[in-house]
Amino acid sequence: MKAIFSLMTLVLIALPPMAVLLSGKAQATADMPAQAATCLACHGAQTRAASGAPQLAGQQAAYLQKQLQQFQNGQRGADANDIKGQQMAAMAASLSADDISLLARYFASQQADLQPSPADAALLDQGRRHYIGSCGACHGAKAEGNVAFNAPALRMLSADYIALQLQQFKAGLRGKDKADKPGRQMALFSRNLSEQDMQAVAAYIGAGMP
Amino acid sequence: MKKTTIALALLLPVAFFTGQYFSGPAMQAPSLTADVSFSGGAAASANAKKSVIDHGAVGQVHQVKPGQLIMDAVKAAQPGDVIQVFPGDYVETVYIDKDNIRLSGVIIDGKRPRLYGEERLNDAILYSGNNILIENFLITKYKGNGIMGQAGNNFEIRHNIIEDTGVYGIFPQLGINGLVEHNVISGIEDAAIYVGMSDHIHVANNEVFDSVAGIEIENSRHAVVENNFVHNNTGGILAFVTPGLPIKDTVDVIIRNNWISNNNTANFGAPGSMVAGIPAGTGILIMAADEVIIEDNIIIGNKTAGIIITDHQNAPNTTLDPESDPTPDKVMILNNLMYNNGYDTIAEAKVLLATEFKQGQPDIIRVGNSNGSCINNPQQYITVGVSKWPACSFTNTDSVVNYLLEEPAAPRTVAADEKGKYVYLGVCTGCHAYTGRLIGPPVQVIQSLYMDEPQALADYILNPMKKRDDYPAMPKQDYLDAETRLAVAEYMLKVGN
Repeated sequence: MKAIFSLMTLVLIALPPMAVLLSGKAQATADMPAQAATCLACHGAQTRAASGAPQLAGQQAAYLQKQLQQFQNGQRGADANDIKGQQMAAMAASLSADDISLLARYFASQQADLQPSPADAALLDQGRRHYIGSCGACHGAKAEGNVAFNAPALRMLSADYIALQLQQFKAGLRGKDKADKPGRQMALFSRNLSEQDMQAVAAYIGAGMP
Repeated sequence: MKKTTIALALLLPVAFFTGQYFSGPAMQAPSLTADVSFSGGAAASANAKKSVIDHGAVGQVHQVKPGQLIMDAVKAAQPGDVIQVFPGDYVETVYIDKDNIRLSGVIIDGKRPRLYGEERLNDAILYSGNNILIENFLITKYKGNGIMGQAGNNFEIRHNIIEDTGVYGIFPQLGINGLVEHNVISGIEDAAIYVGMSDHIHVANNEVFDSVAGIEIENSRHAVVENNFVHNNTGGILAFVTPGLPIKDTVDVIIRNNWISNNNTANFGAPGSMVAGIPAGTGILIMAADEVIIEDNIIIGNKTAGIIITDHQNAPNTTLDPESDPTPDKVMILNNLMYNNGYDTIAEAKVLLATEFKQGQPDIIRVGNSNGSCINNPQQYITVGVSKWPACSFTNTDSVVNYLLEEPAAPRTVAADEKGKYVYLGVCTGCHAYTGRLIGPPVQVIQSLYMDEPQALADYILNPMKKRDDYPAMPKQDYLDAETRLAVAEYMLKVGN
């Protein structure tokens, strides 16, 4: 099963137009910019699980814009060990400043599709304590994000994506550039977390914060 | 019968006018005389005195009247001076950063001076000096603290009425040798009386009600809590260890002769904060504290349970601190009058009852581990989790009058290069634990946000802006000077757990 998914990912990345046909349908609306179809090839509802790409709908526009700029200028996705980031950096390279602004605003205006995935009760309990104790201070009680801290929304993200980001922050693959202050803030905090803590928090958010 | 009434009616006006004529000026402050005890009766000589302050010779007396500022008198005062505040309204924050000051409200015809925060000011009275006495005030409508001690030793806080005032009513933090008595406190979002990181404390004869927590003994050692009337809070009396604070334990607490009733008020603490995890209907809560004795309390009508004993793992809204022992050890329950508790208890308690094949309304619930604990006459209570506890080796604490020190503690002196540390311990940790959510965000998060910018943090605490919907606004720390603010910011950004 897993092998099939990986295969699909490969196919989808190789053939964007087909991916649009597959995934764009559900989310396409009249006002969807043409460039968004390319994004949904990996970030769409049907492809996210396989591609590992985060959901963009419902994320803050400022955060999305900043990430795309960072993928372009090498503050994110430049490290050789950050495979997924490199893929995204390659995709972001072709975008104009107007594209970035348009896409950021479009996805921010879309309704997030929340699909909680269940997890072990003990893990969830640990994750809840960490989330309430620390994460929520910047990312909000419902993981809705807080622009005052440049803290993105997390509620629409999968456990796998969150765990990977935490690992990358801690390992110095993300949030390393001097100019990336929010990234450095998150990187500094991630060093307080053990692998187990990261898995617990990721599971808790991915499960819809029960 | 009729005759007597007429006689009284004639007498009263005469007596009234005579009284007025002889009573002199209306605004008379009481004279300061030494305490004299009743010498009759059959009291044993072992009865210890209750004062913890050796004031020495009384210095100058400063009188403050309506229209004047108490703070002006504090600025003018020298150690040893008395500040008498006359009845009337005072809208200000009083900050006492000198030693040996007696701040004394003058009560005339039942009217006491009122410190009024207008729902705008943060704190009514803050003190960082040693040997501070605060008495006879009415404090209301502040957003932060009624009376907060910040690392001052030897304090007496008494005869105050505190209503509807923010997060903590009376909050001595990091103090040694202190007395909190005869205060009436209500309408507090966290604890009416919060003894934080302090040693040798006596909390007696207070009434606390309509608050989330009545009396909290938190990360403190050697405290007696007695003869208090604790009612209609969410939780009555709490002895516990908050994880992530610089003092890691709570040890040696006696909770005795208190009246703890109907603490069933819905929890109105800030969601996610530690006190927000207290189930409504908790009489006494022991969390991770050691050597707590519970004796001769009247505990009635608390719907979840009379006494809950828990470790950190089983308490909601707590994170573990690797340096704090999460287990409540040596809890000692002597005789108490417990009646009609646990009548609407939480699901967890029902499950635990079922595992012991019991039914009914629990007086005592213990969850998680506890080592070396004991209970006398357990058959009188409905209990969960204590059936294996042996009897205690004693039946009362009569040998302990209080845990106050024989001689006042040495005044705490803070070297210039330690100022940041003591402000951190005495002020910041009142709301910020290193990990986890106390009132404000954890220090770890603050360290991540401010990284290597202590000046930005120092600027923030001077003039905080509310950035988090689900956290209370941070009070301004403008009573600290710029140098101190920077020192504490620098300390906070590098401190560990």
